[in-house]
Amino acid sequence: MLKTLAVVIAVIATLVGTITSTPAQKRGGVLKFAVPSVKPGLDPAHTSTGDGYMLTQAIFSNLTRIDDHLEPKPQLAKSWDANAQSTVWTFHLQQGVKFHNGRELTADDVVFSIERILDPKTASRGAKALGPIKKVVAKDRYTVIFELAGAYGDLPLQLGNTFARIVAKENVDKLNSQPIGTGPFKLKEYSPGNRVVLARNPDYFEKGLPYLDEVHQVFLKEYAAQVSAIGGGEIHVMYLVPVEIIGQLKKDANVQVLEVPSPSFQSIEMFMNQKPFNDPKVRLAVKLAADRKAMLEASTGGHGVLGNDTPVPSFSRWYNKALPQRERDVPKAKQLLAEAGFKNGLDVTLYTSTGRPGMEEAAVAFRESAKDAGIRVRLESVDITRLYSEFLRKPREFTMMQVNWFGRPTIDEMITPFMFTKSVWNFMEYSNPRVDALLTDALGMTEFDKRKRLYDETQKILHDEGPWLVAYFRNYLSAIRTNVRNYKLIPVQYVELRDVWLE
Amino acid sequence: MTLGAYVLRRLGLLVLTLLAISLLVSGIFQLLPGDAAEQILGAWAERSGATLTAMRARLGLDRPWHEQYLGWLAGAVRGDFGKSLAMDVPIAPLLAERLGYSLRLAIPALVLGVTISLVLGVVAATRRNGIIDHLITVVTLTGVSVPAFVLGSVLILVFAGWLRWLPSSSALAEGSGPGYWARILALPVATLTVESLAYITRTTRSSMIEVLKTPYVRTATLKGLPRRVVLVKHALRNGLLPTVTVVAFNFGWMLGGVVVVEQVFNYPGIGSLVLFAIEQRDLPLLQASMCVVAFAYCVANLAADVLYAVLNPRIRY
Amino acid sequence: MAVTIPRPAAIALPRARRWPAALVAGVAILGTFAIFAAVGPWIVPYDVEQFHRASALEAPSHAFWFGTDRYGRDVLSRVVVGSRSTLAMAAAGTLLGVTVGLVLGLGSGYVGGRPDEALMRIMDIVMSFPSLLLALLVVSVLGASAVNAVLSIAVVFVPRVARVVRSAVLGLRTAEFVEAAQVRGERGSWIVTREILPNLWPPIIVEACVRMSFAVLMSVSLSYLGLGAQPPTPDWGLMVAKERAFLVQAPWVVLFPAAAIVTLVIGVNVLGDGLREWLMARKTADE
Repeated sequence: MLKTLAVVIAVIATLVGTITSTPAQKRGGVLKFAVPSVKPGLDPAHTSTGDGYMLTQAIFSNLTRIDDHLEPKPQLAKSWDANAQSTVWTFHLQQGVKFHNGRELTADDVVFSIERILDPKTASRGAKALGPIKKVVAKDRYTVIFELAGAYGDLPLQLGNTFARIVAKENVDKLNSQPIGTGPFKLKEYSPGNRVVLARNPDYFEKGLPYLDEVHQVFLKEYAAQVSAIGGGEIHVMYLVPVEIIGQLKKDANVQVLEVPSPSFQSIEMFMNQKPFNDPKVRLAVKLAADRKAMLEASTGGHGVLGNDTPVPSFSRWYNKALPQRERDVPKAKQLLAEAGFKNGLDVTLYTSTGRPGMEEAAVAFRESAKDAGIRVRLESVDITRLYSEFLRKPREFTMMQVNWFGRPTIDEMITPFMFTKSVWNFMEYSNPRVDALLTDALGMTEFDKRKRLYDETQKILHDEGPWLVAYFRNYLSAIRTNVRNYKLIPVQYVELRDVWLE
Repeated sequence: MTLGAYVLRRLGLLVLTLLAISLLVSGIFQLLPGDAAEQILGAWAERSGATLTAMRARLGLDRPWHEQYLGWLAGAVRGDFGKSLAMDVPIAPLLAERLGYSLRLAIPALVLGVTISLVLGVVAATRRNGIIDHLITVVTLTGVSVPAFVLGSVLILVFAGWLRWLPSSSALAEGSGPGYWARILALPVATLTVESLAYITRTTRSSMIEVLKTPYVRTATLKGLPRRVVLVKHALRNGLLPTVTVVAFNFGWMLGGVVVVEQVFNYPGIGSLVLFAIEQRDLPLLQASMCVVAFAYCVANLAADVLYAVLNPRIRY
Repeated sequence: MAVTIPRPAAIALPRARRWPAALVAGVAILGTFAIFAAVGPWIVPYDVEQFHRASALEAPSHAFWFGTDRYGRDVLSRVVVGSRSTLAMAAAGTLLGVTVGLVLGLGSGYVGGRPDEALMRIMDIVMSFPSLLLALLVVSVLGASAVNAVLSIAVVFVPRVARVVRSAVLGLRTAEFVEAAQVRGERGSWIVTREILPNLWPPIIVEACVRMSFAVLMSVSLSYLGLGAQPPTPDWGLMVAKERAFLVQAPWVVLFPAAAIVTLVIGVNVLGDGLREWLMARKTADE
């Protein structure tokens, strides 16, 4: 009797043990990663696409790391603090971090890397993306001090972005094709435009990481190849899944489609100083005439969220919830046009491109819906480079532009570069002193509630009279094989591989 | 003119052609909207253009056109084609690598295509206007008119997706040696072969038909010689002359003109490199790769003309 | 007694002769597509740009004979109306290329000497680019559109046609009737248009058919690379290129336009064969 009880207890204990123990991370394996487009170059100052960001994130490290909730976490900096006005920030570095060539990383390397990005001769668009940095100084071997031109609460977050990677001075000439960093992976093989092979860095400063032996990034452009490869296990992760093949992938039991809302969007933009869009009634008419659901469906196949004519998406904690979601209202649009002097409708040209997925499909849907309000849209599909270099920079009458914008992690970056008077990417020439004042004040604050009030008002103004029709935000979709563990989608399409493992 | 002198003259013209091509490409390029700096920066180039100016200075694009061209030319004659603006790597080794890939694709495809086409062409000519002839016509025409990317997609889905005999893309295969090459070349070679079948077959067929009608061949048949002897000893030698020209054309085409097949299979050949250079506005890379393609084309044509002259004494120069 | 110099027989239609089967087939196919191109929009069941969201990606059915695409547009209507874009692009490109090539080849071949050499060198240089790469370069400079695709196709064809015409002219330049005309004192341009040109029509027409099938295939390739006709135009190459992701899920979206392309190319080639046979037969009959 006692013997049976003992056996029963032992069995129960084993069962309980198996159920409650967490699966251990497996070391080893080669992760194959597919990207649908590539842009060559590994210099963090000049990378501009997801495939490049992914590689520099694996090869280099930053002071801070952006996690999947868009919060800064310690990486090369084990801690940081700021003075009361948030104008001077001090970062305390990890010790014993080695570059791939064996040399230890010190504060001088941080100073060099940041100054390099800020230097206009480097021609990096990151110069304006790190915040208002006046000076960066190495206080001692493991301490870096940032002196800012004004209060800026988001500095730790910005130092986690793709420009703020820490590079080695001696490597600068070969940075684009033979980079060395302090990241979890070293560059093993590089065939630009074709394939990249990364191998584990055995001296990585976070002990135990990375789990993977190697990471291969391959360029798979053709849909048939993408579907075959992930279905057959030739690749483990597909970075961006084209909407067309989602249906097929979902049918495969070994493939998981991951989806996360992201701040990327495709706006239809109107030149503020040109006829007819200099009249706010016309701009509003355009926004009311559009069938947002149809545009969302056309561009993303339903994998996105509706936009409310500002660059801030509804799932962002900064979103102005009091703002009602704009709905299609054709009679009101017609009335506004009549009031503006366009009783018989409006003829406009919309420049779009097939160069980015979903753009031209949404333009077609917009054209269909605008017809009902008397807005006759002529579509001009041009090469994406021409769209940006030629058409976007030349304001013209009766012309609209469709632009594809990547999401930004901070609220200030989402709005200021586009809407502040004469700002870097304010191609529509929008200028409102009230908005300028709101953005400037909010930038210097650190308290969430106070900042939110200012950004709420900004959103209301842009929603009513701004130059953009933002109909939708595109979700970020990836596909992974079910044996890939701990692969998290970061909404700004960064890829973190150091703690991913394969079963 | 002797054959040797003829070849030398053609080679001289070849050099002139290459010069003209690089000049032409460079000139056309100035008409292309946007440049490499704008490509790198994209929409993120600022309104004020400050970053753009700095980037142009970095890439050497702020020099006047003729200076850029002459600088490139001076390097090119020494074998140094400069650096690719978009990839930031030296061009010469990159070109050599891509050319190697293209040759590995073109040669098997050509050998396979020509062999099959010759057989089909001769068969079609000898059974002219019969069922087999019409069947061959329809099959080869279908082969060439099914768009290459459709055929390619179907092949990938069947052989890589369903049967799993071959990799889905050349970037996914591992290893080296003949086994590796056989695996990554199988599908692109198959697609290219199907594409080139129609024209070589039809050229062979029409010229064979012409030759078979000539008094020379008819006499041989009337003399009582067996069909096969007539065919091989008398008809083929002249009948295949136009085929030589078409084959040379095909070879040149396979080296540079098969961009679509290269894109579908992710095969890193020269055609894709040219497409990339155009998209990225990478002028040094475009000039160099266009010259290489043109060079290969001209050499192939020269070889065809020499072969033609050797086979057909009547048209010696 | 007066001696009459024999002149080439006047062109006359054969009466009781059987037309080659290839010619009939070619004309039938091309003719059908030409009819579609002309009256397509009026004979199709649906508007080509009409989205039927509720029936997206539906298999061929009673309502939609060829099925629908991802926006719910009727594939049958788009294929029929698509003949317009495809046929127009191919025909225009071919016509333009052949015309310019003809003029250049005629002039160069007849005049001969230095200008001929120079022109042929230039043609050689243009020909040393594979056609698609040259078309790519031209379209990139001019911008991606159907019109520019036509221009790039024409540019590619001109040197090839010029060469073919030139060799034919070189052959005819020494013919008896040409010499007779020169002896009579006829002007060069008269000789070219009245004596040489009529003898060139057969090879030119056949060459044009071959070129046209290349034109169709080139415009399809340009569409794949995003450089040909632009959305939302119904164009077969564009349809196949844009919808090829659905090859497994919804094959009808790709297969019907692809079948149209195949049929057109076969038709044009068969027409060329038929014409060659018919014209050769007519020639031998007149000799």
